[in-house]
Amino acid sequence: MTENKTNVPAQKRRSAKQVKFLAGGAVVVLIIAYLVFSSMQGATAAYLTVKEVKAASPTERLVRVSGTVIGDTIEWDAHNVVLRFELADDTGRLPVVYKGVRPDMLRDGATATAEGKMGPDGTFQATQILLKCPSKYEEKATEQATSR
Amino acid sequence: MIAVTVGQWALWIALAIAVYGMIASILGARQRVPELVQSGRNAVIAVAALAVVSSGCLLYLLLARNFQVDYVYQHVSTYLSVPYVISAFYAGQEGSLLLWLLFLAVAGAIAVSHRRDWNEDLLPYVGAVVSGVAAFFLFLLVTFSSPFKLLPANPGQGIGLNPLLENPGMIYHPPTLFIGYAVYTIPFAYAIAALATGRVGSGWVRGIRLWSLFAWLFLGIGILLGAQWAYVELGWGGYWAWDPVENSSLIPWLVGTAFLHSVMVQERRGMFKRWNVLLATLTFALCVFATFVTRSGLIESVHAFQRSPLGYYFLAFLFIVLAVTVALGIWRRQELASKREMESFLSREFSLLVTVLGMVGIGLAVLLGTLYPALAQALSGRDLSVGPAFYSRVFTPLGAAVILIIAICPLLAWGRSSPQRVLRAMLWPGVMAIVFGVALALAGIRPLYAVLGFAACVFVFTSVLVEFGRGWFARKRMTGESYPVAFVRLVNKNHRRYGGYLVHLAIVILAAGVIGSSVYKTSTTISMRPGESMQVQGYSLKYAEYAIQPTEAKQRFAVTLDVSKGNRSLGRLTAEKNFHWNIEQWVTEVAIRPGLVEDLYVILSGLETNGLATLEVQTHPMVTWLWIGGGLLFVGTLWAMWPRSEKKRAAGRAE
Repeated sequence: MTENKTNVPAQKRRSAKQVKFLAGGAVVVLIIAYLVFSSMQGATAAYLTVKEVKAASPTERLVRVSGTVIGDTIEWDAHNVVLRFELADDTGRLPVVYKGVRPDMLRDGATATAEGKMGPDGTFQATQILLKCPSKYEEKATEQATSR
Repeated sequence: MIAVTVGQWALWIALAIAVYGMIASILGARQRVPELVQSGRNAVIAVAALAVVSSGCLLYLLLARNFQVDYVYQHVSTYLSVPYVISAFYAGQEGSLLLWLLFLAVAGAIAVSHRRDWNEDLLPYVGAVVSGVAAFFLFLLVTFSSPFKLLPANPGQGIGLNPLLENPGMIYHPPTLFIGYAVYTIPFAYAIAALATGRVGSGWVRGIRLWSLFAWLFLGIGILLGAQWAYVELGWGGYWAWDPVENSSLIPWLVGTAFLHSVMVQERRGMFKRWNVLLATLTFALCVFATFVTRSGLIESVHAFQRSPLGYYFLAFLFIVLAVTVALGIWRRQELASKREMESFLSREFSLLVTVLGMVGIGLAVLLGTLYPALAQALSGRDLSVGPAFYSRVFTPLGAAVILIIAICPLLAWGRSSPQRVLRAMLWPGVMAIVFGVALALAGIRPLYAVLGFAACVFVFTSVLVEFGRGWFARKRMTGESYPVAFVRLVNKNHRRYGGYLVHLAIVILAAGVIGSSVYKTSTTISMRPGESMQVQGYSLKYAEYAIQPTEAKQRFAVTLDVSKGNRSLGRLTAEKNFHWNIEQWVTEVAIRPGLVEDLYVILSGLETNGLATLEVQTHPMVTWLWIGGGLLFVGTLWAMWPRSEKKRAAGRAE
């Protein structure tokens, strides 16, 4: 931040008045900094592996888990708008349930990231699903679905 | 194939000329050799001409659907319609970089051709910076990212554009944003020129006013066009999802806003010189950063391109930009000192300082949120993501503070102003805000923070209108003109002030739209058979017909609803969910019935062969306000930029 330089006259002399404005500017900066750092608490979600997610006890904290979608396990109940599928990574398979519209890119072999919490029944309750498309399409080749 | 050769060679020659131009301009200016300076200026114009030639070649190859060119093969197919073939120009990384270069080179050529007394000494350095930046993009274009790469044979058919990109948004949004990014090179070039020559007085900031307004306008409108596109595209999480790519376009706009305001302080009071140099550079660096985020794959985003080594070159370039500015700034620290001191907290200067700190603060907060996952990964090896909760917690209070400053800042005089005058000016806006807030609360509008937000918007809106009215009536009293004549002459007399007021009104309308749409969204899932009717959120929906049919590009699934509210028919809506053959993927086309109060937004989530449809019916309140605010932003900025005729300006000076 250079605001503290802004009002300094060329001669190293700083009148008492100017110190007042520097303090005013500094207060504004401190308020913003406090807001930023306090807001960061609890707004981040950690990426875990399937094994770690399964081992973790159900908490209120959001986590993210990434893996490959297993095509045979996709169950799309268009009636109730409930999507179930399994994600696999090197450490195991994880059943995921998502209450929301089926993302267009969800299919066998797609890389999906689910954000949510582990449910008591051992199913991952996703509130958001992000998909990266494995095809040759580079742009916009990912998709995000959020339950509203 | 001549177009491939010409296009590729044009880039190589342009690179050589750009490097030459940079050296010639700097040498010419330092050694005072007018011929070299002129030659450097010609180089900028030559690079622009070559960029036009090269872009023309790529456009020709796309339109000719020459699939042997890899870039054409990747982004065009025989059944893609012409507007989207043109938009395929910037559908990939190579074409986007070429477009950046094109806008930058053309803007640079215009800038160096604009010779006036005040910028005679600055222009060679402006040309040098433009040439340097152009050389960077040309280097990427001829080495890692050539749009003219050939395939061994002509495949006869191309892959085509991703259907997600087949939306009018694809035609308008990327170029608008890119114009904004590229044109911000000019204020940066002037900042460097001011530092290099030591002429950091008000000349350069006055000179770049139009450039910076122009870039700010295109960036802002580009962001809104992108928001509109994301709003109609199901997978992108609404008009704003705090996605890194979205964020990275917002950050330079926020810092650019700070720049627009801090420039005024230097023009009027000779203060904030350091801020202006810093903000011009920062805005440009953040524009480059935004391009870099989309290209590098460094940050997880739904809009990002594939990971590529380009990222490192962008990082190196950013480092050079910042290092050069800081080094020159230290060298010129004497000249950059303020000649004047602040006098009062209740002054235009101090409120503008708070504005600048607020905008830069929000910008840095968004930047931190965007970079945090990458930083955490690099520092602690932990993978994590920053959710929208962070942004709404930071943005809500800071946004509210900035909005309130909009109401207060224009009331304050330069130097110092009396508290009584300020309080008196805030009387009517305050009364209006309280009346409105209480009325909303009594009408049962909740939650309280939304009511407070709307009341703040009314406060600002009224205070801007009161400022308008004060000038208007004063003019009528003094000149005896009729009301309409007085109004027209008033706003015509000071384009900057009244254009600025219009933009302030636009921002308030945008803010109200953001509050309304983020707090009062609803969503209902329904299942219907053909002929059935249902009531959802006060709308009655009648299932009129459905279609399941194969076409050349896709298997189409569509449901048409007759929508009415009360006795009033609102027309038909068709929601689709189509399976596209070429990418073997579903693409959902939502149906939207826009309205001033709220949009009705229908998603088809399932359609069975017997016509049983599952629909998600959503209401998005006040989204239209965003587009209205955007329109007003456009008009207001144009008004602020509109030049007054020489005659009027002379008359104004005589007054």
